[in-house]
Amino acid sequence: MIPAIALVLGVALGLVFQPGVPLWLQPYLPIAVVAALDALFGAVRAQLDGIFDDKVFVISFVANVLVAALVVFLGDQLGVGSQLSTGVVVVLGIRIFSNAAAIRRHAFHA
Amino acid sequence: MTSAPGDRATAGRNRSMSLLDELTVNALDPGYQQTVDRRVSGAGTADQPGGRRDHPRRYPRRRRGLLVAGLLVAGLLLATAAAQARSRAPASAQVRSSLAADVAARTRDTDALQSQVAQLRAQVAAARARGLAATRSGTAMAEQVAALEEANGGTPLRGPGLRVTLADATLPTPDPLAATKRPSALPGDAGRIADRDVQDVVNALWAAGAEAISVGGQRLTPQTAIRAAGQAILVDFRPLSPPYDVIALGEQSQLGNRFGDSPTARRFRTYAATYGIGFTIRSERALTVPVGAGPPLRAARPPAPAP
Repeated sequence: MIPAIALVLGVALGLVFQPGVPLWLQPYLPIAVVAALDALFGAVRAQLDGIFDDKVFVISFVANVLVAALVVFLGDQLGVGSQLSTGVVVVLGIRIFSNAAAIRRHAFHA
Repeated sequence: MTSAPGDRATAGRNRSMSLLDELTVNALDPGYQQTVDRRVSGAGTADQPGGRRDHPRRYPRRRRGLLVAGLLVAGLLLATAAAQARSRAPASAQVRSSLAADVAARTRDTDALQSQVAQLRAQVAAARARGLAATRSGTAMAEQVAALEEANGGTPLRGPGLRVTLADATLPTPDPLAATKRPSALPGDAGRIADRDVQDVVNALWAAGAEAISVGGQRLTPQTAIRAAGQAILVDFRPLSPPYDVIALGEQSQLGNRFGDSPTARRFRTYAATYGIGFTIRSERALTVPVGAGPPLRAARPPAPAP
């Protein structure tokens, strides 16, 4: 319950204060969000599977975001920025989808 | 024997699909399972049923804080990204609105300067009247000046007259993409009031005997131009927005009859029927036209400040 409140509080804080994102960080934000969503869906599924572990979640969350940003950065440096980002989005998208499907099975038994 | 090729095919397919399979099968971070396995193996198989029992112990205070902090950051990230995307997506719209704000600010500046000009001109007129009132020839001259000023928009006037309102047709707005492709002969242009239309109406009103005319609150002087820039109509270089209110002062019945019978008015009634533009003529008892922009100084210069 408290973690859920924390998530909602985080969203509320972000919406209220609208922290400015420095320009150099802006290209990394969308992909970092996708990575964060992946971590969140994974956490929910793990919770439902009964194998949730907070340390794993936090570390995977932070690492996911950082790696995603790193991938975008590398892609930019190599001149394949958008393609590499697309790859990351596809992979994370598939993971989000299958995790969401697992959550759905847990929630509705269907 | 028979199954061997099939097996190989399955294996081949599995190999080629392994990336996708891996993705869907290992969608969950393997770290979760590993942690559980480690805990189970560390506690020994005998303790496994006790896994449920130590459930409360799984969230010690400090680690729960970690979780809360992580989720807080996650939510913050989501909201920030959403706000960012929303603020960045309509960048062109932002540029547009900032330009529009710029235009509005400049228009306000012009208005302020305009009213200052009107004030100063009133002072000049008062000073001139005082100076001319001293002599007989001066008084005659003052009357002449007043008549001329009335004619060229130098004084605000009020009186009976006509209010002619022109409005664009309320057709569905044309596709902006199509509009950029074909800048001329738009289907949407058929129902749009153009500068020429306003000019025609104004000319017909002059011809009908109007004594003073203002368009959209801009007094027409002998030097006022009605022009178009893009799709906006400019009167005296100030943009107007529809509907366009043309106010003409003059003897009501004569003005109304003559203008109503003019070819221009008949043409506009046809337009109104055909294209659905707005075209109304109203006779009103008390109308006002503001003072017009004075003629710019061409040769005269303010004197250098005395040393």
